[in-house]
Amino acid sequence: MKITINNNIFEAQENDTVLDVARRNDIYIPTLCYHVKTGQTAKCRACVVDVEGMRGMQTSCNLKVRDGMNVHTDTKEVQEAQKMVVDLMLASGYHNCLACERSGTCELQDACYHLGIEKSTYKDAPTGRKDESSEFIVIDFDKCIKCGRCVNICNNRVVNEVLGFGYRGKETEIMCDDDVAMGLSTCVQCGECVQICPTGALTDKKSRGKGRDAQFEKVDTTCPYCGTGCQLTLHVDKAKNKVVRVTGRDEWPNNGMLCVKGRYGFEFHASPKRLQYPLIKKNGKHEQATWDEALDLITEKIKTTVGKYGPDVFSALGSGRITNENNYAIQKFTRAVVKTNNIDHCARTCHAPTVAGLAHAFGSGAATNSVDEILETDLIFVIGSNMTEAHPVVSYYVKQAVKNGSRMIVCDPRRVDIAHWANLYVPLKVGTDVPFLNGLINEIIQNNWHNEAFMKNNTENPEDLKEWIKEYPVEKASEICGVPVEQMKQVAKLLGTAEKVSVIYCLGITEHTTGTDNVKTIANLQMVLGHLGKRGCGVNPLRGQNNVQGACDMGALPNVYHNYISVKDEKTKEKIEKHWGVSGLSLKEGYKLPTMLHKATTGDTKILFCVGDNTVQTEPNMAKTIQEVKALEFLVVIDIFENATTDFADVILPDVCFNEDFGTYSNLDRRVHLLRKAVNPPGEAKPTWWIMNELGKRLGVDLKFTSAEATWEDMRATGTIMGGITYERIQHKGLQWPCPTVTHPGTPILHTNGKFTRGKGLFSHTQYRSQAEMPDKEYPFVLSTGRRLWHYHTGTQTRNSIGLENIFPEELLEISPVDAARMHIKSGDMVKATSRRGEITVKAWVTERSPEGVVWCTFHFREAHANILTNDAYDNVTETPEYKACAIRIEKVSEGVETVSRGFRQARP
Amino acid sequence: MKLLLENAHIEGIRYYEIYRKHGGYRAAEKALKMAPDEIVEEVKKSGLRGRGGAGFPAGMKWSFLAKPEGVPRHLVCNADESEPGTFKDRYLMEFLPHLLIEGLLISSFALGSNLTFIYIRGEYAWIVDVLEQAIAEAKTNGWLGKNIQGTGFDCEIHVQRGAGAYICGEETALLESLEGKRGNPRIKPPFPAVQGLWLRPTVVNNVETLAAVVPIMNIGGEAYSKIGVGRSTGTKLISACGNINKPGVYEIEMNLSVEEFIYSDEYCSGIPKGKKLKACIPGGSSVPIVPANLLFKTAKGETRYMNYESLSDGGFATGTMMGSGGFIVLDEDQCVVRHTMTLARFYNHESCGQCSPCREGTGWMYKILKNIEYGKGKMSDIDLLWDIQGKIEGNTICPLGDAAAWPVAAAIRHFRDEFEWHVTHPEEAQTRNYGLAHYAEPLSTVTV
Ligand SMILES: Cc1cc2nc3c(=O)[nH]c(=O)nc-3n(C[C@H](O)[C@H](O)[C@H](O)COP(=O)(O)O)c2cc1C
Ligand code: SF4
Ligand code: SF4
Ligand code: SF4
Ligand code: SF4
Ligand code: FES
Repeated sequence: MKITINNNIFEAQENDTVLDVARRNDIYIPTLCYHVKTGQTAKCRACVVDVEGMRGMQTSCNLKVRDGMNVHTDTKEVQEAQKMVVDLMLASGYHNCLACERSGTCELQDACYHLGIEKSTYKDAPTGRKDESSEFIVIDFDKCIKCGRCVNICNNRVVNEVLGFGYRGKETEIMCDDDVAMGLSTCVQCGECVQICPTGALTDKKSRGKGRDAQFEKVDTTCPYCGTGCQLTLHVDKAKNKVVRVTGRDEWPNNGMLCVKGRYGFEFHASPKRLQYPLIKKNGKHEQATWDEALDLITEKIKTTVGKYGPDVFSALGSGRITNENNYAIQKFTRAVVKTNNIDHCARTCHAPTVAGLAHAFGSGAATNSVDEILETDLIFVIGSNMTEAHPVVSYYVKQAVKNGSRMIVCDPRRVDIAHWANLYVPLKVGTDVPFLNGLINEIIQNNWHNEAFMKNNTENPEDLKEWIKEYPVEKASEICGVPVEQMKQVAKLLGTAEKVSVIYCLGITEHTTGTDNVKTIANLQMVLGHLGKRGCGVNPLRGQNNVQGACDMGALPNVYHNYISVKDEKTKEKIEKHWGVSGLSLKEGYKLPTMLHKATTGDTKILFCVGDNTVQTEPNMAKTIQEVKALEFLVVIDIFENATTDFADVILPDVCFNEDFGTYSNLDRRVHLLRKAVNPPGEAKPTWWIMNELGKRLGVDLKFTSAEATWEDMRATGTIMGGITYERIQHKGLQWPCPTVTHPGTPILHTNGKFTRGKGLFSHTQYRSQAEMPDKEYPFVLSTGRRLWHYHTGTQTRNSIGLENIFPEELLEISPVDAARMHIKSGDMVKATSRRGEITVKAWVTERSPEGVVWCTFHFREAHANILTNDAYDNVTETPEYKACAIRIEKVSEGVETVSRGFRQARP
Repeated sequence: MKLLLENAHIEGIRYYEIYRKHGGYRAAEKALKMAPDEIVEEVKKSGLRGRGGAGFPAGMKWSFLAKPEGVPRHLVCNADESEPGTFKDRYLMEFLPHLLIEGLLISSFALGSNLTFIYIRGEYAWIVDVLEQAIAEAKTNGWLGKNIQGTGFDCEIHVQRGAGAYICGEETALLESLEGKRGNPRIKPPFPAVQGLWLRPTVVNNVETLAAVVPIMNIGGEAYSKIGVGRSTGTKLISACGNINKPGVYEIEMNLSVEEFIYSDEYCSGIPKGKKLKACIPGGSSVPIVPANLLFKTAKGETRYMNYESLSDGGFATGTMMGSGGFIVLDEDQCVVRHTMTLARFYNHESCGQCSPCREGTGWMYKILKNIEYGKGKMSDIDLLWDIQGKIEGNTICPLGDAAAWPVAAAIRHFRDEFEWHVTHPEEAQTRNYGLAHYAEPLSTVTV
């Protein structure tokens, strides 16, 4: 259709608004409330135009086009009407552009410029009211034009439900919760409101006075924290070699949204504490060395030790936090140069059961569906995931879906914050997932809610399952897992009768001695329901670290090369040998991470090469880990900071971090994203691929790592599922594997049409086994562990960034009000937590998030570290430790002052 | 003729037994035997226009109600009555609660609403008790609840109190508030008849509109349409206040002249102390003020009557509006500037704050008026006021913007000299009033 604007005829589409057509054709109309993300609210009235045949002025932002419409945006009346609105807005506060952060990127300023408003017709005195109480955001009430974008986005996009409008008339203003200062509110500082504010009313505190927007170079890259893989833009001050500000990019998977870590946890890259030079331990002290000295020493050590004892005394660890390229580099080095398969990484401590369990059931060990599909699902089944803290951006989508009418069931022993939005919260006992899920499956089959056709046509052994599942009537399951029979039936019915079910789980499922069984049971459930291979369905593990998916994909695993090519297959071995230009690759599966360490004490592991893995702090039972690490003959650590593990290293090599080199990360829905170099690394820090290449050279193998991209290309040449992904193709948007050829569009959904990667789906018989260490008289509490919103892992990044540490400066042990009352503990008191393996002293936080008998803390703080207490019991298949359950005892040490107040929903201290 | 308040004076009419004895629930008996669509037809025939302010034909609104399969529909009675000068609904509910309940029952039956709400102004707390008492009585006697009078029709009525915001009388803000949200008006379309309460088809009507359904049922739509004149059918409640001898709520037929209404003994009984009439706001604070010389006679010199057409004769240039029937009379001692300032303050305070012209514009109008009133105004301020009101009008989401603009526009249009006098005589304006305008009071032909 065609419409006329200012006497020119333009092409228009069916659902266009007049504003859409105007913008496409470079006709400026001021818009101060409309934004694609917050929709057409028609409030500001700055966008008015005149339409022939319609009475009065029309708001162009929500006016649908009609064929032959005749619009004027430039008549005197229209300009006057627009001017008045902008004029009034200018007058509504105090706009001193000279000193405003937003000058140059402000939409109100633009509107004034275009309409020729130099100063307001009206005069008003500034109130000077600002809210600077929060760590990262400043609210300048004098610059707020009440457009409502922030309120809308906080409630409808990130669904943190903090902002609202208060008062009315001219007193109308934005407020947090029930009119408290932002710093005291439930605001999680995601910064989404800052990003969408059209003026300088909401600004980032940390970039204040650091320069004007135009001064900064914008570098698009990927977030270095959790596995969501958010796309972001770094605003870089080139002269200072520093990132000044971070904004979200409007691209999948995050569509502009970020969490507090991604947006505000960036200074660690410029921390003076960064490792800058190679260090060699001499007489018990780390001394600065040259790269040649360090690399020669390592070469020498590998040569003599491996020469004497064989390649298997060498073990290496990649990492879920470093790039695909660097993981590939370390695995290729281990296999091609040392000739052992003793390579593993920290997926062992988190999602190894996912990889094993799902590969067993479906043939592919990764999430089956994509993040965006959450919005299309009918029922979201969350189990063992504290997503508002560990995967905040995924939780935004989940909450959005619920707002739009999807239903949600949250199963977790702890009342995690996402339960606040659930239709049904099901508290089950720690470590009883198998009987709980089996009980549900039984009930589903009993009631004929299962998908018979799917089971018959697309799975291998449906009759077996139907037989053994009879062992789990709901009554029996209920007895074990502590969920009332009625509630179990309710859950089963919801699952059984929903049109689309998406199961989302995380480490609450995997970090158990029954981790792999737990995953297999989830796979059973979805195969019984037939919710696989379709949009809005599937089994969707939330991978924990930024690149833990990628580290697996790159073959930093003892049983597979990159792209899950088995090390035991003679034929593929030859193919890889040919491409790598080496011979004698090992056909023997390597050691898993815990085994590597155990073998240190028996002298079977002598050299450990550790890249980006703070082993001492991340493995359970720290005292034991320390013994093991100490027993090593030679420990090499490549990292960006000193940490508990570097203390024991013989050689420390400084690595580059996420914004100092190119590379790729693979996120939780198998999307490969590009990282770009934005700043120069400190001192002499070098990428891992360079280090491996240098060592290869010294040991007589050309690994062909001349750049990150060259390393990727080397992988791609023998890559199967990633063979079609090139840097060129992912410049703007990631690609989801499998993507075998360079013309393949990527695969958002696995196992479509019921065709599993392995052919037919496989049901596994799973049985209840209790946790390894049950609470008893002496150690009556169950300790479960995890992550918090404000920190990440052992804190090397978050505790070296400005602000996060202020918000959450010390560990808190979460304890239920019932237990606390019984033991006369109140929030703020110091308590001693003791397990059979060690003890820590930590501050208590009395909270309803903890059920009776269960306490919880994290492994972020070296000062009070959960892993001193955790149990070194492992999943029987994957050797993943049982971080989620061990027995401890608690004693009150001293009285303290309560620091936890408004913490319930957002886990704020 | 009285159709609504006929029995209002009867002792105890607020109770079911007495109301019933005086012919109560006869209309309901009749209606429940009819097909719902027939009732809608009768209301259409009656020509009944909405009494909440806009005067939209009720039958027409009812016939717009969408009826998608399986989606509940609702009737909502707007009892928010917060317009300055309007207090007719209060009177009706306080003295004749069963009349409203009966009207609600008939209308709910006609529209298919099993869950009907009365959204009542928060300050009318004691009336909530009156209404709830009446609802309980109606329920006991089988006029509400399940299977009403054996027809199989179920209906519950809930009374919800507002929290003191004028804007919650605007129908979509009312619905938001009823849903438990901040009372911000919605963008229309979609209209409530398509997406109302909880996005279900909803009819929102004023108390008086719904009460009028009872006499319509009793005498028939045809007969009702014959009362009054032209498109102003039936009777209308007027709440009269200001400088008159007998303020109160009057039920009038709409062929009564304005002059008679002010001066006749049956109604307002003239102006106290023999003062002269200066101006009148005949339809609640939102409608344009009319100077005395345009009140009794239109610009064309014809008699002005108390009805929709006659009051708006001459458009905004020389006429005004019927509005919600809040009739405010100003005598020669009143100051139009001060009066307009008071209204501007009200609208600024009551603006929900969504639309910038309304939020900021009403604020600035109040500030400027305050300056003029307190002797700090400039001549250019009057033009600025004129400019602002002109740009608020028609440029907002809901009609509150218009309602705030019209009184200011009309005041400047008719009393510009008084504004100018305030600017030129800043000190004098603090000590005395301007008095009558440049025109003389029209002589009353009615003898007091
Ligand atoms: C600011 C504002 C306030 C209003 N307040 C009321 C009110 O208190 N009572 C009322 O019946 N209608 C009020 N209305 C009108 C309603 O929006 C709506 O038109 C009316 O309830 C419809 O009923 P009716 O058709 O029976 O008149 C108000 C409108 C506006 C714009
Ligand atoms: S918010 Fe915009 S208009 Fe206001 S001072 Fe800042 S740059 Fe200027
Ligand atoms: S930072 Fe995030 S949670 Fe806080 S107010 Fe803004 S949008 Fe809401
Ligand atoms: S703070 Fe910014 S986004 Fe929020 S209402 Fe004010 S101007 Fe709009
Ligand atoms: S006109 Fe005023 S009251 Fe109505 S929606 Fe807009 S701001 Fe709110
Ligand atoms: S952009 Fe259209 S009304 Fe604000």
